[in-house]
Amino acid sequence: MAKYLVKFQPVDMFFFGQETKYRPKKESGKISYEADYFQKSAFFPQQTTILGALRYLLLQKHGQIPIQDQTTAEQLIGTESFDALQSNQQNFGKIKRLSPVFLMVDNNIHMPAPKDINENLDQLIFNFKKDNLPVIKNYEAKKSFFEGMIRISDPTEFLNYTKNEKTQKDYAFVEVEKIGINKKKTEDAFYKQISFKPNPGKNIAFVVEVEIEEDDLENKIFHIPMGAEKNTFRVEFFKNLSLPEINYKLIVKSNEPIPKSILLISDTFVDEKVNNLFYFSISETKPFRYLRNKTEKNTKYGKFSVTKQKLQLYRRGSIFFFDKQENLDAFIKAINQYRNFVQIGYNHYITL
Amino acid sequence: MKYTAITIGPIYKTINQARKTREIWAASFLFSRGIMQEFIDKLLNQGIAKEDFIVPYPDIQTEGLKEIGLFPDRLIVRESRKDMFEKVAKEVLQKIKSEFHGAGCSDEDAEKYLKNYFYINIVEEDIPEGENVIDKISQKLAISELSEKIISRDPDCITKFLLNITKTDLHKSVYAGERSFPSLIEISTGKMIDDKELLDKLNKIHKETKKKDNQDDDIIEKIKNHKTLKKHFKQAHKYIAIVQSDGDNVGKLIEQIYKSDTRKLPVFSKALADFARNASKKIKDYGGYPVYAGGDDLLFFAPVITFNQNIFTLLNKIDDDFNKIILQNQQLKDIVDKMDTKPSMSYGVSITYYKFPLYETRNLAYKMLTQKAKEEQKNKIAYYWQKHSGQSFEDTIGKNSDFYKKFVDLIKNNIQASVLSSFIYNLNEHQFILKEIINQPDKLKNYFDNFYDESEHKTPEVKAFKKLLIDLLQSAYSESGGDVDKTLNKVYNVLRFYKFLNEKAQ
Repeated sequence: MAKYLVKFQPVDMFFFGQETKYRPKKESGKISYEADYFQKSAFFPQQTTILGALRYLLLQKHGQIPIQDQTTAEQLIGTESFDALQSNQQNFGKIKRLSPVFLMVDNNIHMPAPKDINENLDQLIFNFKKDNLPVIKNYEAKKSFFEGMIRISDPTEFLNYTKNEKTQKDYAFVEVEKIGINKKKTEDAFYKQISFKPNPGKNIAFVVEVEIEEDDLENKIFHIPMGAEKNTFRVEFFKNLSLPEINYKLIVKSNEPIPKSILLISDTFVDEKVNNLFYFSISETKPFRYLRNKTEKNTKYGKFSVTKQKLQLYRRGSIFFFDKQENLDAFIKAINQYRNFVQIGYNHYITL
Repeated sequence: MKYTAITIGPIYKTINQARKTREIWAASFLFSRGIMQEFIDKLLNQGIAKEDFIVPYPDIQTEGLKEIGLFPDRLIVRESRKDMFEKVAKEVLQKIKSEFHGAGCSDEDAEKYLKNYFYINIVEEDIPEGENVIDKISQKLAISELSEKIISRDPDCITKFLLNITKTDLHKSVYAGERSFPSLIEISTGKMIDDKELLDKLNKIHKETKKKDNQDDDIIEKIKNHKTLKKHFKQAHKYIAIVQSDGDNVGKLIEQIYKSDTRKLPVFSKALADFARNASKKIKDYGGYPVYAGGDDLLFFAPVITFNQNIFTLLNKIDDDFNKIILQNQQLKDIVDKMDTKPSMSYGVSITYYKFPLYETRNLAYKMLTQKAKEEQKNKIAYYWQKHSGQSFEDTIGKNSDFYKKFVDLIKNNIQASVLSSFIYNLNEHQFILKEIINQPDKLKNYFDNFYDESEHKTPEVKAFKKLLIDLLQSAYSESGGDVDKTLNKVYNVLRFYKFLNEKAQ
């Protein structure tokens, strides 16, 4: 078993699909989904995308693109792709564990900013009240939160996703707009797509820690397709590198006891029973859909179907507050219950 | 003194799931009428006196405006009423549940949504006499909305509700027997002519085109195939304007009322309700369709152009109402006069091609309002124009500025398309000249006289247009703080937009 830090570097641009890529429509009484006219890439790949990329990489390394021998392929990558609703622990062949995905910019590691940072880049100051909502003096309802990233080793260092005239901070990506035609069969079918590419002059890569039963991945350069447009990524494995620890603290000015709290450091899937466990949160949900396939001989890798059941995740960066230790414990138990999610880098958190 | 308040939602999260005009209407109406109006009616029935309502004005008249969401998302009353509020909240949500059930969501799934999606957050607060109740409670209500609950396996009830909206009681209560909320092209072409006979033909086309996914394509096809209507069909008819607007310094006015005379609060509340009604009527007269009009907050669809007006003429009319009803309100005048910066309205406008996703158009309007129009001195219009080709233009204009006045005057004109095209072309080509003389009206006049000396340039309309253009360049220069590039860009955008307003359909 080897532990690596894996760097996924976009060679040019990338496009990671989001839920809003699909638009619902009614057809013979049923709801179906079709690609929307206007599509914008997500800034980070989903964990399922990273898993898919690693599975592809292993197949490619072992000459199994397309799959020649099902047994070999299954040994490498398991029998099927990620299945959110499976209660049994899934087996992804040689891939054993993934961490959440982070963004490395010139050797600094970044993650989406926790949700207690306002648009002026100030952390909210909590004044907890007994049996009541906290008072947050520097929270302005009509203003938004900071939609960007922080450096995990120094949370006072901010990084925008794209150029932002307001905050004037450095930024990671540049928008690439593409106007396409004839995506659909109807006449005059235009579509607009916004992909991203790294800010020139910056060394950018998505990074993940992986545990994988393949010892000879270092000192090699792999090129694999990733994302909805199958853009090329350059992938490298490093045994001697690891992610720094995340140290994050809330700012509290309160006479009352400070409640226990946790910060989600990856998107998290939990049962709605948790809704009764936290007494306050700064949180946001997002819809979750992903692509599925089975490991089969001669599968044209790339033939996937979108999952039908719509799931919801809590967004990474959400913060939850608990007035009792037992509630916090139950919440953590609920997070860890979904072992398949945890295994591929979802459902990770830190206590604050 | 104790106060009890609610905030309801999630409004924008629901609106963002809407894909068609009637779905955006439904998503907003569900909260305004389905939840808030129900809540107020029940409170009044339970004996809460009208005088005890701080916000909103409890006597909002819906006569003639029954399809519009006139009730805001917040409510504050005097006295401690938490138990009553909790009981009423349960009743109101149960009524919503039956709507979802009717739309194809199972009982169990609808119940999930009541518990974990919709919220009626109740807050109680003891506030000393003389303090700004509205401000303090609004802050607490806002904090209560930071928490979101999860529905891990999402039965997609909102999508089902919106897709099946015409089958629900909520829809039937407004559109029983009549057609539903109009589609995008129905709105954008609704007032493209004023000739009665032609209008009847147009309405017939609207009525007869079946409501299905490519309904808008069908309507356009029929208009283009109609011998007479096609002559009036312009490129701008394929675009829709969505406007989100919000009062500026209204919070400061409330603060001033609290400092001066709290008895003026109900006057102010009523004035806001009156403004919302009047604005809704103006929007409807123009050919627009208000979705939500809760006090100083407006959300509406509108045609970019009608046979004799454009979206900016509508915004000016709404502004006039705001000035008359709020600023010049006899009973509030003393208080308003004491304010250094008076209340005003700011607008975020997005103008997009009809195939562009509506949720994104609405989002753009919201962003233009919050990130551009309401920055710094406020009292602005921030518009974003997304062309079908993918190009986009945006500008933020101070409503009191000379530039805005010139802008509105210029786009009222009607000069030949070819002449206008030459102006646009030359403005770009001759940047190097214009940069030198931009702040010198005499030299600008010489430039225009020299470069535009064909016979077609000597008509009174073009002469007047040249003068307007010189004035526009001057005021743009001033508005841009002397930045020559910004000036030319601003004016270039105005001319291109003006061309777009008059272009025949392709």
